[in-house]
Amino acid sequence: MSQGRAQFVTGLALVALLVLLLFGTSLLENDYYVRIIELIGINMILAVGLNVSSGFTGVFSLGQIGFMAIGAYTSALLTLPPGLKNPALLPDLPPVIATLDLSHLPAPVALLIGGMAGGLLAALVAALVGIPLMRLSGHYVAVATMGFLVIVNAVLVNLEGVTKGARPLGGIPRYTNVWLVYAVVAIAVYVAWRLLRSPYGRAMLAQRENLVAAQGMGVDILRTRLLAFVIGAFFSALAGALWAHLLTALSPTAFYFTYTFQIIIMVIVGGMGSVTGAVIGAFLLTLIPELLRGVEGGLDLGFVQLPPLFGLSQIILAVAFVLVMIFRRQGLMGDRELPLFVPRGSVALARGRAAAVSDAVASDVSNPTRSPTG
Amino acid sequence: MAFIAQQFINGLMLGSIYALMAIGLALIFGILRLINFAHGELLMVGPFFTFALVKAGLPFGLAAVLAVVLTAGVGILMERLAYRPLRGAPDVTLLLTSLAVSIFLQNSVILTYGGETKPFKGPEFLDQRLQLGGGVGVSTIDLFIMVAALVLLVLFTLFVTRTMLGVSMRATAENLLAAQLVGININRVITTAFVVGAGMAAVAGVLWGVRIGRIDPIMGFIPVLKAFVATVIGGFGSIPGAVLGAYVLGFLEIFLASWLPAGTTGYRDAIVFALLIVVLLVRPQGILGSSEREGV
Repeated sequence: MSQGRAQFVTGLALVALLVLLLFGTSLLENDYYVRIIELIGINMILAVGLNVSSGFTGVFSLGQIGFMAIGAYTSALLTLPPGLKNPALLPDLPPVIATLDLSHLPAPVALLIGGMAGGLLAALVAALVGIPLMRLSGHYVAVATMGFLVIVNAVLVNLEGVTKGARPLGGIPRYTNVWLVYAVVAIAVYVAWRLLRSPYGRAMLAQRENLVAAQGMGVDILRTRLLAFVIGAFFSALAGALWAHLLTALSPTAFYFTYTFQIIIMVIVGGMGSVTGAVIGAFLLTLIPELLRGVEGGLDLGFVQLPPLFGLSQIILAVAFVLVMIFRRQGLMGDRELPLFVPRGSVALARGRAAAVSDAVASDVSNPTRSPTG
Repeated sequence: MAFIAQQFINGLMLGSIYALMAIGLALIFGILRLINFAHGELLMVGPFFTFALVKAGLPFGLAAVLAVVLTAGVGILMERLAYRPLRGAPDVTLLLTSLAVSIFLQNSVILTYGGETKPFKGPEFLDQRLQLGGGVGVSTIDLFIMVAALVLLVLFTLFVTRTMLGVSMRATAENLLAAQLVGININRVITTAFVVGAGMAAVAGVLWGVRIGRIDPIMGFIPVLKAFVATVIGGFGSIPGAVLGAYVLGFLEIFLASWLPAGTTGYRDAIVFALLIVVLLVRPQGILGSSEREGV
């Protein structure tokens, strides 16, 4: 069993584990739990998407949620029942979309149409925006993609005839269910995995580790980064569509810096560049704030009553993030994947090889106590 | 003519607020290569400290001065607890950490005072309106903002050109390693940069709060983004550039607000950020920045 395949099996096993988990909870028929599990899945897709566009390439994008917004609004507008998007309500909507009626289609098909349309539109926008932006590096690209997010937000707020502006766009059919969410999670994980093992993925990692050396090896930097950016945007938009059809109402404020930051923490905590890391990060960092929300609303411990503490979960997340940055900057997983299903022999072999390499490097540098991988 | 003069005053006022913010951003970026997102939160905690102290019975002026001092303390803590342990880390790590610091400060204020908007009223004399003749007027708070910015800019210039600490600061911004080699105490310089930056942000925050008459925990968010754009336009890390960029941005925004066709004024921020992207692509070093270039 090759290591790549073994790791893919690990990923599938993880997803299967989660499916099992949610099967258990859906037996409880508690809408609240199911909803959280769906949100966890959607955040996993976003985290994997950000991991592809930023973790693999090292080009940090703060604009990811902008693509999510594009996916959410596109899918919502396509699938809204015609009664809710007539010219009296949304005057600037093109007639083709205004009269489009997908309500007679089965939910998964309608969601597929909406999601694909949103994903492709986001991918197109990403390609157009990315051609100039992917030339930048470091914090320049972070600031520029943040500019993109502000622009998307301004368009959503001001294009009132299409998006209802700052007011919520409601009445979106509820198509999303756990199975659809985790099907997309599985696809996203699979694509990220295959990408990482492909020549394109290796080119992404190579230019992240050493730009000049990668260029010297003939890696087309712009095209490599653009590919990652577009794929990330596509999956973010899919997540956006699922989100729209889960919450059934959208407003531009949802797609702004708070959400951006949440997804970034997930990827960082999980480990930039690790697909399993992104999945684990999304799982932990959706669940923990949800658990903390109980504390925020005030808690009755029987003997003592805690007052409501709004903002506490965000504070805890922020502190956790800074601590991760200071003490374990590579995140939980670093660059690695879960070795659960890698056969023993090959793990030992890989470890031995890695140790030999780091020994060789350590004896080369003047400070042997610090290996570059540590 | 009166209209143009009036808009000129508005642009100058807005530019002054941005300049007070942009100096701190540029100073900290120049030394640490850190884009300090949490700088906006310093603008926000300034008026909140003032609010709390006024509530505790202090007169507004004294409360504001104390608030500026307290905010400078927050700046020091921010550097000590979050940025110092990460010194030398990649740019993006620092940037993301500053986002976390920003969220921490925002939610700490929400936790203490709630998320609602609070009324914020300055002393009487800032409530007046002066007529300059020809139909042009200026409110005393706008005048105060412009004068305060001018005074602080002059003081800051004197500080960085006439004092040992100021000169060391410029040297450190120029080249951290070389500054260390000639015996400059880097930590002292960095702490000073945070004190100066935080103090100016607090002044901007209190004045801005008085001008719009209210404060809320997310009031620092848009100003810090704008101050960013200003520093990018002027040249990352260049302090004269940041001030110039701030006034350019102030005038540009007022221009867009008054000359854009009705119905499109909402796109003002979008236009400003599109401009930012264009500057990053065409002239990443800004108007006055050095020719250091990062990119493919």
